[in-house]
Amino acid sequence: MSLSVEARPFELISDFMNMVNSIKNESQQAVRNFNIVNSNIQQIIEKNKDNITEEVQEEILNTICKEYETNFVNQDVLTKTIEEHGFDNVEVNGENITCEKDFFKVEFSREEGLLDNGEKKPYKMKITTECTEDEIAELLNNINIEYTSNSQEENYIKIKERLENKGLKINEEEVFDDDTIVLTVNLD
Amino acid sequence: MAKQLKIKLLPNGKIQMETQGIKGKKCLKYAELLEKLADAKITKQEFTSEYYEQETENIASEQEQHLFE
Repeated sequence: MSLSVEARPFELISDFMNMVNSIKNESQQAVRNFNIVNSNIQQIIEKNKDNITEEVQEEILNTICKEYETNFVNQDVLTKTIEEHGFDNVEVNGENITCEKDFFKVEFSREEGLLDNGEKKPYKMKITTECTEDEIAELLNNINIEYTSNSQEENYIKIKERLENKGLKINEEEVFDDDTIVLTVNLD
Repeated sequence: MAKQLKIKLLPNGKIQMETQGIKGKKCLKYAELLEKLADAKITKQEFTSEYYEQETENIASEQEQHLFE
């Protein structure tokens, strides 16, 4: 698909929506290449940012980027999880992680600062590719299952190692049907 | 009763710990220990009857002092 876009300030959001709908309905190929269109639209917004109010900019971006809240907090565990999940081009830049899988382009980002309980803020998952809500729900659910499993594994390795460093021996180790692991440490 | 820590690693990534045989406020030290062991923050804490009992030996053993460093 070739695309020619003329830049002009967006005065009405409906103009933009008409343009997007027109592109999306053009053909199946256009839908597949929607990320290219998104990229061009973002460039147009950037060029015209002085002429568009911040409110309108945000509204436009929300129509081309879908953002979801997640429970992912640990960056190392999240990076490991998405690599294991088969994502390519995984890049970590500060608190941001970008990656790709099939036609998904995904970005995990979070605001700086801590929550009231002292924990880092959880990541938000941003998808900048055209896909259905069902596809996104399935993707997020699969990542979530692997993330929690990797968190448990990391906790297990870390706690075991640190207990040994403090001279404490694990006397009993049990794994239950629900995958809960119980470590019993005698202190006498 | 023997002094024990039971550390539960839940499949959802959360961690729970129970202390047994540790009387009085000393058990709070073990809650701090868990935070250090797991790089975690305590989000919920419940006291058992042992918390309200008096520990007969008030001086922490050498091993215990090493644990809480």
